[in-house]
Amino acid sequence: MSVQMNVASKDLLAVNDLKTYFPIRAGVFQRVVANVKAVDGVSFAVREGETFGLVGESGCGKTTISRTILRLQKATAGNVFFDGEDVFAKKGKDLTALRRQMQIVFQDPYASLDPRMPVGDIIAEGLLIQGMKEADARNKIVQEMLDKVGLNPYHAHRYPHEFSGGQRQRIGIARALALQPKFIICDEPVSALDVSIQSQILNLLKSLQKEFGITYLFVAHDLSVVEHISDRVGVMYLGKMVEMSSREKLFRTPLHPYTQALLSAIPVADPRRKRDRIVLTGEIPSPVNPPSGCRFHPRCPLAIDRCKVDEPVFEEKRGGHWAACHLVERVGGATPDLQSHKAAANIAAVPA
Amino acid sequence: MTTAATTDLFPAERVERGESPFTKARKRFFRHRLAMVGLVILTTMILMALFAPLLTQYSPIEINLTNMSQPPGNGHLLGTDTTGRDVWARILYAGRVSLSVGLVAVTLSTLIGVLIGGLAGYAGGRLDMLLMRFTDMVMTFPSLVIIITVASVLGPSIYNTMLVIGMLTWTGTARLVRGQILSLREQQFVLAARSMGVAPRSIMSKHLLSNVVSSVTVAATFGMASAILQEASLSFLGLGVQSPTPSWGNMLRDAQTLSILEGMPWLWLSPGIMIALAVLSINFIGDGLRDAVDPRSLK
Repeated sequence: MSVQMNVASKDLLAVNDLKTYFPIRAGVFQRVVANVKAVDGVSFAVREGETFGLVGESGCGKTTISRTILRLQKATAGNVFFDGEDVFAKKGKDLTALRRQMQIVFQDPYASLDPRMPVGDIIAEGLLIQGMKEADARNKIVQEMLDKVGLNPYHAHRYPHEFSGGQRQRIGIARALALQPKFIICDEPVSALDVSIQSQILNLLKSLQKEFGITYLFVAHDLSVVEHISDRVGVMYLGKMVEMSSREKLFRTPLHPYTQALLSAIPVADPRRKRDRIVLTGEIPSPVNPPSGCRFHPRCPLAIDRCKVDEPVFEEKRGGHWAACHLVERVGGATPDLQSHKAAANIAAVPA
Repeated sequence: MTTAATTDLFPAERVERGESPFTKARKRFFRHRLAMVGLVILTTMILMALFAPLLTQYSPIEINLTNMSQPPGNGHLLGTDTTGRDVWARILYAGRVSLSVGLVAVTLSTLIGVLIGGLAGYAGGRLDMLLMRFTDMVMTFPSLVIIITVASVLGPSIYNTMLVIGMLTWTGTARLVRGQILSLREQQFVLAARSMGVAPRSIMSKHLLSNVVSSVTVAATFGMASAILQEASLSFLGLGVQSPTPSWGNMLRDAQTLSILEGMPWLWLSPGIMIALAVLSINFIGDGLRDAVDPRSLK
């Protein structure tokens, strides 16, 4: 069945060489002195009906990408196509119509709901904007959505402060769902929740996807969450995509040294199982002045001289498995093996 | 709950509405003792000013040279002043002037402050810088000098007093509103509204302004107390409300001579007490409001 789906599915969202810079202004005349290159040339596509996971450390540009796609943040360059239409070219009514198709669920369930609005009004706000004038029709959808996300219809009259974090996140999902969008960006939707609540929300998202055929762009920094929910995964580092492939390939045979380091950091719930952690030294560099060549080279345990000057191309190294690394040969070449390089390349290995 | 219960989703006891932040704040406010004391005093003063003609048979401006400088008692509750006017009547009618100057001035300053602060906070960038530098400029104005200038150009009157106080005191409100809007507009619920296509103007009114109302109310309350004080000091200097119209401030001014200070305390004690009571009670109310809308007490 999944094979059939893959054959039939097309790209719903295509991001091409997207760049989002934040200018740093200084002086009396507010001259632009530098740019924070939050997103610096990222390309990927999300297929209809799938969940595309986007992972990376804080500050790597995941959230900026999602906000740029939704036009909450102006892009510096590049373009985004949604369902074949240029997102950045839309204006006025067309833009409003497009917004109906793309919704977002935010990270912080406390900041994402207006404290002065009853829950019903919060969920109905988008419906009103999209031209649903009859209060009865709106109420009906509100009741339906509350039911879908596992809340009670009478909750519509309550205010956000009367709910727990998990319940608030359900309200946020109901708000996104009310417009019946094709595509929802989940911007770290569970990272502010308790672990026990996280799985409930993830399962809710999954079942809604099954019911309504929604496509997700799932932004997170928690790899186990991404592994649980994603069909394909993209890994970002400092404003660039470094690796992208199906979940199975990415988690079983990661190509990029950064992905390998990330994966080795996932805790294993088995004290007897020995594992070697690859500990990256240093901090994530500043996106104002990113390192030359490969952006990962100052922290990469395998870096060679070429990495310092020559920026690797993000290309398809294996069938459907993309990466940006000089050390990964295209097709058939050996995967850089961090574990065997350990002695040679000065890596701190911490047995767990 | 069984599946059959889906038809009965609204059991009577469950439909009760949630408490809005406003309802909660109102409840907290009415439990605040000091604020209630202030509210009772202020309400009494407002009622006294409103029903002044019912509370005294004397006119506040009619001179009676046969009955000058009488001590309290003998038909005059608070005595008479040096021109024979009934002090109790003047206190009542002065309340109308002083309280309405405070109210109008603070309304004006709040409107200007919210407008400029809201615009600066929401627009950001160049407009923000321009408006805030303008605000800084107004803050540096020596208010007394401006007031003297305005009073000499337009002539001192009750309306000019309202205008001048309103025009010079909005800066604090503007800064407050700008700061709050700046932080609110980056909140995720505002981003959510934008992602649904809500127009900037409705975002401003529905999400931003409704969230600054409480702090603006608190600021306006304290502003009213200081506007009453300002009116009093302007009138005391002879730059505010002019005789024969009584205001608590110009009643104090009329009581400046040594002989009155020493020999006729009812002339300066009564307006002084009224000013102090009005300012104190409004500040109590402001304290109560501030505690009531404090987000830390909003659970």
